Amino acid sequence: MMKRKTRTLIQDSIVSTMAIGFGVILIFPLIYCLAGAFKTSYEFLTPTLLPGSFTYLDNFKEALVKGNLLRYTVNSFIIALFGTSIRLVFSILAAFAFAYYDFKFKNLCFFLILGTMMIPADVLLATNYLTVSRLHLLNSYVGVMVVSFVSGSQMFMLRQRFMSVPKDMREAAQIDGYGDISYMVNVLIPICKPVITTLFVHSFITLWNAYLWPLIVTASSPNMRTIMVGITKLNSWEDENYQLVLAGVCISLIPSMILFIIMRRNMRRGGMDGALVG
Amino acid sequence: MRGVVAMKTGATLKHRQRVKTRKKVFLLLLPILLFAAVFIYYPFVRTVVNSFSLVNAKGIIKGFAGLDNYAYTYGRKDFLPALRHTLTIAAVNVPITLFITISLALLANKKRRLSPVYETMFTLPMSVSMSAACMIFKSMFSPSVGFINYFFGLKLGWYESQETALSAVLILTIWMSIGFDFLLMLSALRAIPDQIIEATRVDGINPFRRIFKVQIPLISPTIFYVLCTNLVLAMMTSAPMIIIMGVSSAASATTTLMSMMYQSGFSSSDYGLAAVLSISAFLLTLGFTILSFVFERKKVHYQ
Amino acid sequence: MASVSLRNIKKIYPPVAGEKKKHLSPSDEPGANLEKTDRGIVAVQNFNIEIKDKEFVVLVGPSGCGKSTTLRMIAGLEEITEGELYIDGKLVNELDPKDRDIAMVFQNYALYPHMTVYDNMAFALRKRTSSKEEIDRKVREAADILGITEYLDRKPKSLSGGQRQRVAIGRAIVRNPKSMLMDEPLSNLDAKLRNQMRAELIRLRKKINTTFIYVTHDQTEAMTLGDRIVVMKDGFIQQIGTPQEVFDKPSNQFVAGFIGTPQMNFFHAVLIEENGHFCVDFDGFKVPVVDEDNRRMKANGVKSAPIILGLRPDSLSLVESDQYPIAHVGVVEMMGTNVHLHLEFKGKDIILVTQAKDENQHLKLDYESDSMIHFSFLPQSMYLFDIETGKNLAI
Repeated sequence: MMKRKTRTLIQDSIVSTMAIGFGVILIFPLIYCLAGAFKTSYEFLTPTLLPGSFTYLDNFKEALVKGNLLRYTVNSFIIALFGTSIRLVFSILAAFAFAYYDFKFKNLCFFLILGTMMIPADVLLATNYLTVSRLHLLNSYVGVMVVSFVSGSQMFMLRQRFMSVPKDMREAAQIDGYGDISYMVNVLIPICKPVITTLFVHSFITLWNAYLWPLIVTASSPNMRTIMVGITKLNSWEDENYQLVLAGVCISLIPSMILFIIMRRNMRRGGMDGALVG
Repeated sequence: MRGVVAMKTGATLKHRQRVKTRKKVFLLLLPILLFAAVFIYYPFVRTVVNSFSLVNAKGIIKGFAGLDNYAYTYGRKDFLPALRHTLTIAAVNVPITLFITISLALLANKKRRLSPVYETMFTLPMSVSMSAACMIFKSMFSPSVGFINYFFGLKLGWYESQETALSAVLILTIWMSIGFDFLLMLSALRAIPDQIIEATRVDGINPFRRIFKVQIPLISPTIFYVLCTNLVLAMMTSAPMIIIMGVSSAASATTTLMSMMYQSGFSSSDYGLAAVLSISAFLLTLGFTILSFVFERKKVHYQ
Repeated sequence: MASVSLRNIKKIYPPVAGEKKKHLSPSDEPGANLEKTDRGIVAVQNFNIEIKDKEFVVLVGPSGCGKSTTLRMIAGLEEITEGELYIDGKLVNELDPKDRDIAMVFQNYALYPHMTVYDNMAFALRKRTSSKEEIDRKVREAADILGITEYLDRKPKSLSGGQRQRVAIGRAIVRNPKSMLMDEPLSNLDAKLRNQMRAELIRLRKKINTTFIYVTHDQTEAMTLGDRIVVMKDGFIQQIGTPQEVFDKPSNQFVAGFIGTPQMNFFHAVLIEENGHFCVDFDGFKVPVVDEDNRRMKANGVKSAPIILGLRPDSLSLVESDQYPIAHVGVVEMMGTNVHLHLEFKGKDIILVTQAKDENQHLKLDYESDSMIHFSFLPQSMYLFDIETGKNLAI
């Protein structure tokens, strides 16, 4: 017995070491980025991985102020927050209709919304650009977020979740005097909070990370850029300020890293415990 | 008599409720359907129409062009290379990503004490945005100050040379796909009931046979899903070309359909060209997806 | 605090094309014997009852008999296809559940998982009452009655089954509704807890003055809780009566079989009229019908004919004499005080219940598996049913 246990232990240690080795290779670009962000421009020319000290913050200051990243961060934050909220509200409303009502053309409407997943957003860039410019929304927050208000996958996931809430719950609320909408607000949404939080986080990261569309829509107004567009403008082929760029990249990664960790923790939690028998 | 009266009131109640329901459903679905119509279905149809039309620089249709846009686009010198690069990226990216993520998932499958550490390491790249990754890689692979050339003692141009640009782009796109795909593979592997794995152990089946005859067939639906989504992503690749390559001398070595759409179509407001390229990329993607569905029938096992 | 009357209530579930069945409550799924018309499946029909203020009425019947559907129609969760429903003399067919002033306890409790026990109970009040103090007072009062005060700050998931059940009841009584509807509230508890909660419901009923309508498939619950029992089958009412009436004078063979455990034994027999007096020919043994039944049967115009004879297991008794019918002992089930003997008589399985011990507390050992015994019964314990319609001939 003892022998078998030691064997497993040795096996596990070998595999774990290998895995961590691969892991380091995989996240090496991130380590490199973090280290580079603290290097002086002179240090960057020397071929060492680590900077002299992790207290040299000039790159961050310069990126935020000269590179206008402070403004871009605010832009990105507003766009991701409101874009995600509106998208989530739209999805919740539609998912509620599909989960709780029977109506004409239900299947048609359902597939129309799911069908949006089939069309890659890149294909729509040109026409959407024209639409947004005709609506005079170029270089505006609304213009950047307006194309992300529809999410078929989000609507679908919410509908599935809503349908898994027992019908009793709605009937109990009905008897307690709550109509459809107040049931949705007071009972359904709180019950489904874990899923909604996950979708919110996921959606926030997606909007925060978006590049091509914000680039196009804010092309003529540097002040309206999002941070993901902003970090690509911190250098050029002629002027390779990589330490500055990497500091900008680090700043741009902070929110998504934080949310990523929250999401990983949140993923395993359920919501219906104790409502029903068993 | 009473029954008749009751039936009538029943009918009016039903009718009243139906009207109320219709109103509610309409209001609930209006926002999402409206925006889907304006920002997804309309532009899609419009793109198809544009590809057959004479479109001016303001995006207004000036007449029917038949297949002229297509003939013009496909006749351009830079079209065939763009098509070739697009297909190369898909053909290299998809299998390598699948291989890496399946291997990592198999490695990480068993829960060990250090699992949370390396699982987090494997998934971390998924939270990095395309443009952030581009900037990091551009810096890391810089021929003059980049760490890669120094560390491996190479003298390659990477993104700055015609020969290596495409490979450097591929390294980046593969790195970008690993995190999320690994997560999917891992949860699929862990969803296989323990009894099945235990049964193979009792039956004395060696680990390699177990992996190829049991585990991989059982997660084939997930593999298929990853294959399809990666295919679409690979076909639509454009950001690295725009962010890293820009208008550099090596740019022509990496142009894809979508980056060509952006660079020559968009910047010069040639909406006919943009439409043809978009539609071409879309149809290619669709074609490959359909192909993989044919393949799915034979190779994918659903439980 | 209200009377409830149902007049000619009918429920038809329209046929659902193809896919999933329309939502029937879980206990109603196997409705194979329900009448089907071109408008759909008739789940309940011809339902008439006047429920008095503060009465406790139990709807009981097997799965698919329409009892839950009826309750849901009273609650307003299900539309009434035909007929009229009055609460306190007011026609409420068209009212939404919230306007009927009813409360309901669900089979699965349906507690709101994200709210504390307190909030679960206060939830309905917030829609009706404005004053915070009043809500607080009412919630605490109800919690006190049910003994759940110490759990008020907990969430449902940290409560045991019995505690959740109490919260579900608390949520209903806190509103002091005109009538309380309960849909199999005890069916998810284990046997011991169920007995305990049943006793508690009886106590609770004395404390809160309201009309109860209670649905169950368990005849013991029906017998112990109800002032009146409504026995249902296949969408029709079979009998309405007090527990004693339903037990002693079942209107038909179905009710006789459904009420009482172990189930009543049924035999084929022949009714013979001799000299103006009925007697039952049971396998060659002639048993006279008691005078009272005799009179009623005469009044009902009953004729000599083959009938179904019903005998409750505890009215059969073991006898030593071989003058009596003989049966083969199959399984002997020792229940403690009683013994259940599963007998085979003329190819039919019947049950006989007898005392396990004699007067001197000695175990009676005059039966064992695979032996033959003789049994008898008293004439007044006979139930006589029409062989065609199953109707009780003597009422």
